[in-house]
Amino acid sequence: MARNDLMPSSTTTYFVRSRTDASGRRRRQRRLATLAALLTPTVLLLLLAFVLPIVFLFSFSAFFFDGARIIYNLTFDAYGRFFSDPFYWDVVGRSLQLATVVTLLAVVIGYPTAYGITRIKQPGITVLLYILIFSPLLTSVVIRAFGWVVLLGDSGFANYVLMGLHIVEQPVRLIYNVEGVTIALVHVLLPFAVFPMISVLNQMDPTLKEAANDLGASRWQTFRRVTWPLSLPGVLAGGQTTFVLAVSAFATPAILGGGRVLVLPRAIYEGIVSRDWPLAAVMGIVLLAMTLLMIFLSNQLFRLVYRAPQEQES
Amino acid sequence: MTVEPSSQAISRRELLARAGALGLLAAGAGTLSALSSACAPGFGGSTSEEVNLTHFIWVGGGQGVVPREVVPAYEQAHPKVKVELYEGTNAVTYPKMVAAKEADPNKPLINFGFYNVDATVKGTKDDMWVSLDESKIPNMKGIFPGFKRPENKGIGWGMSAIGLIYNKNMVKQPPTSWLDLLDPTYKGRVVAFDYGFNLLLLPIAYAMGGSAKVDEEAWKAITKAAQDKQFLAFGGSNEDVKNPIVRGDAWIAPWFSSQQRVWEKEEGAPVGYTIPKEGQEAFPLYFQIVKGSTQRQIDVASDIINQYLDATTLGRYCDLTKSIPARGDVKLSADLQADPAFEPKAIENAIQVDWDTAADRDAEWRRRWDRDVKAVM
Repeated sequence: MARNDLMPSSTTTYFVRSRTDASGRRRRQRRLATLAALLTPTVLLLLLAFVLPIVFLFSFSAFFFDGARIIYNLTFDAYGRFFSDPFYWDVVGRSLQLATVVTLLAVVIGYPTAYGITRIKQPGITVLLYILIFSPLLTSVVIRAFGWVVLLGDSGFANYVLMGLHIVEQPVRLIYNVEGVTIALVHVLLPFAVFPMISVLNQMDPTLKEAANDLGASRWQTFRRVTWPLSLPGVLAGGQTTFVLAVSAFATPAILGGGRVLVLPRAIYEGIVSRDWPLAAVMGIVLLAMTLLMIFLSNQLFRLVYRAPQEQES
Repeated sequence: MTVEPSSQAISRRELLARAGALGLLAAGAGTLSALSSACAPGFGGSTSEEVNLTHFIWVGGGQGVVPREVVPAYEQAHPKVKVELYEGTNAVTYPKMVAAKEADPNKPLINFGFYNVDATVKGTKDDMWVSLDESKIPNMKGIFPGFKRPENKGIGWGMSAIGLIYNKNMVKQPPTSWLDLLDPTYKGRVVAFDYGFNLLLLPIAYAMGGSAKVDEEAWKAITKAAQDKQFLAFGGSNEDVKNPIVRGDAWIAPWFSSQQRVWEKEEGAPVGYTIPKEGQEAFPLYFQIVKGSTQRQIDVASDIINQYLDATTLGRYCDLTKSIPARGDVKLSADLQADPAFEPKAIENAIQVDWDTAADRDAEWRRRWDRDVKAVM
């Protein structure tokens, strides 16, 4: 049989292809319709609750504030006032510093906690630990902040212990400063750091560790070469979530900061209260941009760190 | 000659019938007219139309008790009226009212309520208030002239006195001057309200011989004090000032005598009040009705305000909140009458702040407060 006999004729090809194309198009259309139906509620919600407010934010940032009221003329005056004032750069710097310190502490405390929880075999103890870790989320952040004011105050439990153990002779000022805010924020945000790490650690293939042990790796080597690299996505996710929440925290710095801890969310609030909405809108945009930038940079850094060893090994 | 009746002439019977019909018509029209007048808005509350209002009241310190008596009683007497109580502080609520006005001037967040002099003056500049009608609030006549507002934009009902509060366990000798707030004796033990210029900046300015317009010396002194760690904290609420004082973390603060009395007498807090030698500061308090409210809402609000201004009701409110009433025939408890803050001389010699200048300079002072005080404390 000649090879050509086996080749479909152009007519046959046309008919087969067109039937295939038509059914393929119908399948694609059905798939798109299903996707649209599934995604429409979320998209609508995002449009109303996020996109539209962002549009309002940008529009308000372009109006003028004359010291008493908003003048609805388009201008970049508020941007100029923000970016040319060293005071606001200081506020941005303090916000970033506070968020970074809180994130590092939450990750440093959270990782051993997450690792320990995933190693526990008894379900009852695991559940108890989950409750302990996540119990801060059961109460309002304002109540928690006031609780920390009582615990960390001059006559609070912390100073009672410190003075009782003769570590200090006078009460240490642990509230109305950045130290108190940091302690309270780490407590509040620890669950957000721990949970992603637990999730990733639980999904790790246990045979990988067994293989490392079988090949003569010590426990430290196994942790360093197997567990730690594989858990990095959880560390990244937990760190990013914690950072975003820390940099936008309002209630805890307001209650525990004593007016001394000047962070961007607080400055935004004061801008709104004093009716300087254009400036408040600019600060809101800066906060959003800062958050997005940090997420982008951390993702890039993660790619560099996470993929470099794998590329070396290959 | 016989006169033939014309074909267009009408009989007497027909004439009488037509006249009767016209009479009935006229009577019906008159009745309808009277009924519609009775149902028109603003007609003494006898309309069948339902009306909803939002009434702003202050939170804490006994300030919610009398409204929760007056409003339900009014609603019971006027079943078509529904009043929602909106509890808060002026500092937080007033900006929300401005925001609501920007969004829709005809849908105010609040229809009427209690406002301190700071919010009252700002509201006047923002064209927020309705001119009150004395014919609908007859009890306005009993109020001291000094508490009346230009164009009747609001009516004063009383005042708080602002002096110095202190923790009685930590401070054995009460402070005697506004300038004690800057005294190194109290280093790290002074708490004040954040951006509360009438509580810290202005009394210090007046004590130094200045005013709301002449405040440079006060600013310099407060800035230096902040650098020297004089201030423990600046709080954003009554609780943020009260708690450090009660705990003993803070020892003195500029604050309202009315609040101090409630904390001390009713809550047993170890907090005392003293009138500085330069005088306590007068802090007038007002009722306002907000522009954008309908005429029906304005009428109901006027009615309720009139009830609040009654000597008995006002006396009860002042007793509970330890405020000084703005009418002379109010009977206060013996306890309050004996309070030094209520002594006529103390009221007469009170520092009278230039609130209009304070409102004009608020934005400028906020900017300076952030940079010169909070950034260095």
